[in-house]
Amino acid sequence: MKLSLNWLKKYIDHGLTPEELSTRMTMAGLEVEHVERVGEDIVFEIEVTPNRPDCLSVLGLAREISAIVDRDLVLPDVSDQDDKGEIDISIENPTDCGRYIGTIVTGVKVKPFSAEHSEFLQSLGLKQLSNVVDVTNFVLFEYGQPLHAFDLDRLEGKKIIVRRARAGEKIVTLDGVERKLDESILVVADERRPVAIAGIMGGMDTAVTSATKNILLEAASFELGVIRRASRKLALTSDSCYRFERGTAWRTIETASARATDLVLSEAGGTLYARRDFVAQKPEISRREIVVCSDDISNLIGADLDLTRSRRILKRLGCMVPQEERHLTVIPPHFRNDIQIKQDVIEEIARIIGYDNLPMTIPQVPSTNISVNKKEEGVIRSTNETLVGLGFNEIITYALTGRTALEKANYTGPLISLKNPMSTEQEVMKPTALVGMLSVASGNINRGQKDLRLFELGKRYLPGREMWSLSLLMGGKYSDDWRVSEKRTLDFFDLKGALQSVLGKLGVSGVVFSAQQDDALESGQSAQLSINGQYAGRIGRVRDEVLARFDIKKSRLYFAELDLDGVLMTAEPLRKFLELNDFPSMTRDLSLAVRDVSFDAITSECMRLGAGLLQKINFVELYSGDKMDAGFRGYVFSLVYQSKERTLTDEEVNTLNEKIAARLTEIFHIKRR
Amino acid sequence: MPLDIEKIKIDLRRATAEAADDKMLETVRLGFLGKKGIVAQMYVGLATALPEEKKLIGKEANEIRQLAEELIAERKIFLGQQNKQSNAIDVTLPGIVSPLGTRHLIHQTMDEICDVFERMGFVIQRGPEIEREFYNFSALNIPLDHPSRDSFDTFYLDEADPLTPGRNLLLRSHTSPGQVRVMQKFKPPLAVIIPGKVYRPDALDASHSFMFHQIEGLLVGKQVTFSDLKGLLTTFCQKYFGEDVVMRFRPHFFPFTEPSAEVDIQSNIFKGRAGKWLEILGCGMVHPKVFEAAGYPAGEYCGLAFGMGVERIAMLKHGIGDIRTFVENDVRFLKQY
Repeated sequence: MKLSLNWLKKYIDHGLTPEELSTRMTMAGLEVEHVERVGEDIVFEIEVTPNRPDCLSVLGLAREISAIVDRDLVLPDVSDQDDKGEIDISIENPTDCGRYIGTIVTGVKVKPFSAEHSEFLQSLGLKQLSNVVDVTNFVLFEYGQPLHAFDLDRLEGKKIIVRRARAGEKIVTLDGVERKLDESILVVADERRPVAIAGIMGGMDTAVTSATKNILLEAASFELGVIRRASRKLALTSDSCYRFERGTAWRTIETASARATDLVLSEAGGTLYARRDFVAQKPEISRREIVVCSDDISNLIGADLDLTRSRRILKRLGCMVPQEERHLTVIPPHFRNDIQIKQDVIEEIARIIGYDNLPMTIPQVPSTNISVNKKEEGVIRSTNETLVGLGFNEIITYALTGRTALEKANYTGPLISLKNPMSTEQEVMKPTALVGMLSVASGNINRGQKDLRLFELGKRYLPGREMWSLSLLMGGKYSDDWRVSEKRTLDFFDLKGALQSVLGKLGVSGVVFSAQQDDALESGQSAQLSINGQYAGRIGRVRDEVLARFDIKKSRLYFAELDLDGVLMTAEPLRKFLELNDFPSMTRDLSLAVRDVSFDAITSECMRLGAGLLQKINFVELYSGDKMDAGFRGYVFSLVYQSKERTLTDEEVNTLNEKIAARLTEIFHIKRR
Repeated sequence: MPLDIEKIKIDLRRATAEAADDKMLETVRLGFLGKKGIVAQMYVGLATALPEEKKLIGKEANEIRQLAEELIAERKIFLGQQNKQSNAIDVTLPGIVSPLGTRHLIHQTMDEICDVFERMGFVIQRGPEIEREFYNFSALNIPLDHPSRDSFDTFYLDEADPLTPGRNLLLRSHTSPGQVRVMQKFKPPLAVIIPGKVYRPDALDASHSFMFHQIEGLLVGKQVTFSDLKGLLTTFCQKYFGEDVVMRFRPHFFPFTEPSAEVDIQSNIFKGRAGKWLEILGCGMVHPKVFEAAGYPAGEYCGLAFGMGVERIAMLKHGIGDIRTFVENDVRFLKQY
């Protein structure tokens, strides 16, 4: 909302410099965002909050300032006007338009607006058109009530019909643009066609021109939602529309209409021929008394506010507040629908006094009885710490993605779609972070950043579910160690290790990795994770075809996704102390040529066989050179034996180790090397 | 046969000087001082020598022994030093760094803010991003015809709200729905902060994104006042932005608080913005309609609430000009923090 300080002076002598006024208004809730000098005038750009449509006018702001500086407001003189003559007004739907005041002035002389008034409009940057049109603009800014003037002689049948547009109807608006209308758009029509888009903009055909002799002035109340939706649909806004969208005051319609008629008669001459106030539907405004006592104020504000001063502030703001000793009985003015309850009244007093003038106390934050979700917060914190320690960089990607992007990653599962997406690139909720991560990887790789360790800890979304998910993506060099001449690249086991570190730190045990086909991951190089038999995630090398679609060439990337719901169930961040074993341990190597049997299968069998004494199995080496028989791989294990009660002898360890080796070859049909 | 004592001395000097390493030096030592070495032989000769020669030979043997010990010891030190020099490393070569990872700046900022409130006794709670209209709007005193409910301002899902026939689920447009969820779950007193992602259909540009992060705060009790709100947020701003922060509470409007305010600050940490008021958060006293929606008895409790945009704070604090930087995830950016 623009405010001309010269114009403002007509209604209030505030006695402040522009700087002081700007600060005082801002600190009363009318934020002055911008100050501009226009010729002799100074114009404020003010942010008016949506609850205060009454401040979208010079008078409304003058009233606020009168309360701020505690000085009188001078209102314009407006003549009383009653209905006279006949005007054919009809309203199709009373909810769309509750009231329409039409005023016909005949024999006007259209010419430029008088100097004093037009200066104010110039300050606001409004085009000067003619005395009649400028009057409507002037009153719009003065009272905040939009008005429109039609050339009466161009209204077919001299009729006003407020109705929804019919499909296929068109109108050329005042800006010269032809606009297609439909049934969602409210129009003002004559007998034959729409002559204005209600509340937004008039039509060219019926506009007041220099040839106009007789006019019909419109002052109406349109439903704000209808106006707002039409404005959005047509991508058309105006000073009128801006005010209707926020709501206009019922009783201001008649004042503004009368004010405009007065001004037209004095500026353009002519005769008031007819006036009709057509009320289709009165709004339900229950105006009740709000009683506020001192305790209400101190309970809310934490301080006592002087009742006498409070009463004066409220009166300045237009409230009726009878003189009483102990409390305030407040009847808010008709244009203040936002004042409904005690708190609203107290806010009015407090903001005019200024929040910065109220006291400040440090609250006693109560020890709450809220059970913190320690596990959830603990898992988030621990996971972040572990991955940061392992050199991973956390990323944040959009939760919205496109079907095309998901197709590129071979995703064919269920999706949550948006009803009103902004674009096809953000039309669904991401069911996996893979797509977003690949886009990030692609951007980085193509900028020359090829060594990537990325993680995202966020949500993924499936129909009916929103779940915490940890995603990891890595590729590139293992390290920058200059001592190593042959640089190793990151692979599946680096990623698996990172995941195991995360799980280990969380105290999650019993995570099983089993080979699994996956649409996005290379076959033979991907696995499914499960905890207690429940699906918990996946890991593997991203398929080359998928990488290619994300414009990633030459790089190998490994991706893992861990659903944290399952992890949360089993995480044991609190650990019991394990007695440290001081008896010496003994280590025996075991070298096997294996085929069609997994590491997990072998080690769990070992542990079973070595029960009690076999403490740990370390994997030493995977050998697959030409010394191996076809189809066999060489696995070298190191078995660590230790007793909690005694020192083991060589003999018993050897015997046990032999027994285990023999059993393994027998069970799995594998060979010792 | 009389020994040429001078020649022995010359041999000794040459042999020790020529010993290039400890092993050669040991050979020299054995040659002179060993059981069968020259000195030992001299003592053997002593037994068969004439009495008048004995004194001289004894003296010469002692001389050789002393000299050999001295020279060998010297040489040993010299070789040791030389040895050390050939093992020397260039201590200025780069160390092998295991690069630490980084948390995303947005999450770091959220953690820092939450930490300040947690130290004051607030507790973290989280709410769903996929939300019901009731929590996002109705319970927060946002009327049915309010513009923010339009599809222009809120993302709606294709999924129906199972609890409200005819209404669809939506993506929360702010973290405030968490207020009502927390109040429904727990009885006062309560002090919570609710961090999370929020969504609005804003076209992407340098300062707008359709997904961003907020932190909501709520304190409810029997006696919570507007001056508490001022005190709490002043403490926060001083702890987070520095003791010298300048603040103002500017009246504002939110449907779910009454009175409502925005907090503007000036701080030296915002380079190039000295003397400018920067809006940093919104706040107010919980509206009675919100307590009603949460099922609290009328007039029983009062509370304060506040909310802030994390991107905005991070951008101001670190001088980042474009909000899209955060989702670009350029590792050169990520590694800076």
